Amino acid sequence: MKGQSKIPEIVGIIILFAVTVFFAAVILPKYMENLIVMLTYGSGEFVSRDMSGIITLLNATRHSEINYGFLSKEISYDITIKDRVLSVKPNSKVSYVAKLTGFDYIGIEVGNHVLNEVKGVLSFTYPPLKFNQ
Amino acid sequence: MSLLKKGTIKKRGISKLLEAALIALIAIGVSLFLYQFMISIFMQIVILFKESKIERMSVDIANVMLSNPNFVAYNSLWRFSDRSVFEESKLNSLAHRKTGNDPSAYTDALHDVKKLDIGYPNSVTFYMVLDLEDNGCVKRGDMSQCNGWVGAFSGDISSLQFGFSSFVECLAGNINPNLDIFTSLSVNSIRCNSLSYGGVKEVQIYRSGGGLLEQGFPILIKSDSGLHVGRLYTYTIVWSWIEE
Repeated sequence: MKGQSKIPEIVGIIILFAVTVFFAAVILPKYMENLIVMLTYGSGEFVSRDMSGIITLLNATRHSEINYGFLSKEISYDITIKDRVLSVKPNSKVSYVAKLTGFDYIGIEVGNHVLNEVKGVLSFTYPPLKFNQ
Repeated sequence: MSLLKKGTIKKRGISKLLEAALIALIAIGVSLFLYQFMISIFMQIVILFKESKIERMSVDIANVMLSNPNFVAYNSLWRFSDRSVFEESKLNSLAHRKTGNDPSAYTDALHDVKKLDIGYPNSVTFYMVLDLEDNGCVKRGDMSQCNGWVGAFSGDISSLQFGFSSFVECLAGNINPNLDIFTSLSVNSIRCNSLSYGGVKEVQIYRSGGGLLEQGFPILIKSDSGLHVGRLYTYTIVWSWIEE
């Protein structure tokens, strides 16, 4: 009788142990990785710095289109360009990440735009060049 | 006996109180020191981040200059620019001629910030083009003696609550007139009476100045006498201000 009553306890401990190990080894690293990406590479500050730099450099290359792929699928972005200022607002379920907006300056005239993201890739086509002759 | 005991207890109480006060003072001092230390480290990190960001901006705008028709030879029919080949005539019209070590070109450029189709908003980019073959400065081993051009341009200046001209005056007053702006503007903040009228106590300046930009970008200068080897240096400053 005594041995029978201990079996559910042992099974319970094993299940608890397995769940803990699964959480610590699989779910937690994934969650942490996503969070770190959202706070660093995926933050508005980082994306705005990258985007503004690449758009500025478009003027120094023969390319007229860029496709910027985002690292995190958890975030989408509202990106606007107005008066050579590029603003990035992340849309995320994590409220702290959504607050990490960023802005940066563009060194060339590209007009005002609202950039749309399609399947995690943001495309920007450079408008026709206007040069002072 | 009892009085003696009471006196001893009182002395012990006072000494314990003094001990506690001393420990509390030391703890407060250490906390304040740590707080100050952390703040200073944090500020240094913030400034480093800002400067590296502006450094990137300077590198990007230098790259844009290398193929911009305002500076380089450009064929409008084919929309083709001779990347890195600067035209002397264009530089003469946009920038100020620098002769040897004469610093007047820097102050002239500071007072003549052009508005071009390139340039970051709310910032000023200074550039210097040196002709390395003009007066044998390279052979003498002193690049600062090279002849060249110094100019400045900016995008829209919109977020200033004081006039841009008074800011330029303030900036000019804070640089050493005997040195070039690239080395003499080593301050992080400037104060001027002209700015205090606009309710501004202090203007914080963030500038580029890393190793990459000190090396400059190799270019060619196209003049009537042919092609000369040159070097392009850019220097961007961005500012923010503290209100009174």
